[in-house]
Amino acid sequence: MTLFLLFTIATGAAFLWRFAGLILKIEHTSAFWERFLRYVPISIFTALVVSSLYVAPELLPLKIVALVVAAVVMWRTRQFGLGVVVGWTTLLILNMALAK
Amino acid sequence: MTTRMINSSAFRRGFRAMLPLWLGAIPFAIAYAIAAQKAGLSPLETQLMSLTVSSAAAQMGIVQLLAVGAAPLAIILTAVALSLHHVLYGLSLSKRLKLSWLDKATTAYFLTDAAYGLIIAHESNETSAFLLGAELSMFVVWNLFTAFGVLLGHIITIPADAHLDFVAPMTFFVLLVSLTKTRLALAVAIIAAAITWICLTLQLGSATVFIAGLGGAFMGALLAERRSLPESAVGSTS
Repeated sequence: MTLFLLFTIATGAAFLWRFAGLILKIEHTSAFWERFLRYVPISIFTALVVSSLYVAPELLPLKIVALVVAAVVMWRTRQFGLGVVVGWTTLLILNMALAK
Repeated sequence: MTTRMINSSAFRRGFRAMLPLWLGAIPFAIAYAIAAQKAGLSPLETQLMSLTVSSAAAQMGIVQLLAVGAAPLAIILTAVALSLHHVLYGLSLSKRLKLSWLDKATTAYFLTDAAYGLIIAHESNETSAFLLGAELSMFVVWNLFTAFGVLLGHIITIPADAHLDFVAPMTFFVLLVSLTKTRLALAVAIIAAAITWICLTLQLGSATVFIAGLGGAFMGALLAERRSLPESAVGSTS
């Protein structure tokens, strides 16, 4: 299999999933469906974050502390970027401190 | 103000709103470029994948599998599964935005986790132009820093303890925090976290995010229906 074919399939899959969701018309949408869609972002972003915590479980406590710090900074300042920078810096400092 | 001016303004706002999230994309793009070349991809192939697939998780997943010489079918299934949750993004956006067929096609091509999260977090700015601005902002930086990694990757050393792979999840986490404004939203996040952990323990792999997304949203809808808790604030933050 050539890499070109692999890229084509990967591109096609990514595009088709997104496009399918955008063009899918669900007639007579119920209140339940509306609520379901409302909770999609929270569920998926939680899954993305938790999946990353599963990698290198020995770092789990440090990562959790870093996430909490990032959340507090973002919550207080309303600055996404600042929250990420401070959270990541916290992780680095904790990791270095514990490595010594 | 004409429609064109409004669209242009919304596009610029979307582009600018993505700037803080570049922090998560830049190191990951460089790391991807370095990993791709170590896996045997040429500079052109490395860049081509960023231009076409344009999905950090899918690209890194493909590169990691190529590096260990995985079977082609495994690579294809992984690529397909890693994008599966994007169907939920499409469904969610189609309820929030009025999109022409051309908008749907461009949105589908450029949509990323970060662009989706951004437009959900900026509900007051929700227009297709805002979304396209956010999407192209991420596309540009992702490809620029892929190229940077391709050109200078051989002289860049990324220390293992820099934990650059955790910057993107941290970005998703701050977006998540901005969305979680009610007790019910918090309950949905906890349920989704539990489902994710179970899926990972059962080694369900690439489909984990889709399953947890589906399960969490389903349980959220169920709880909202049963408890009739106020939920209007979910997904609406400034």
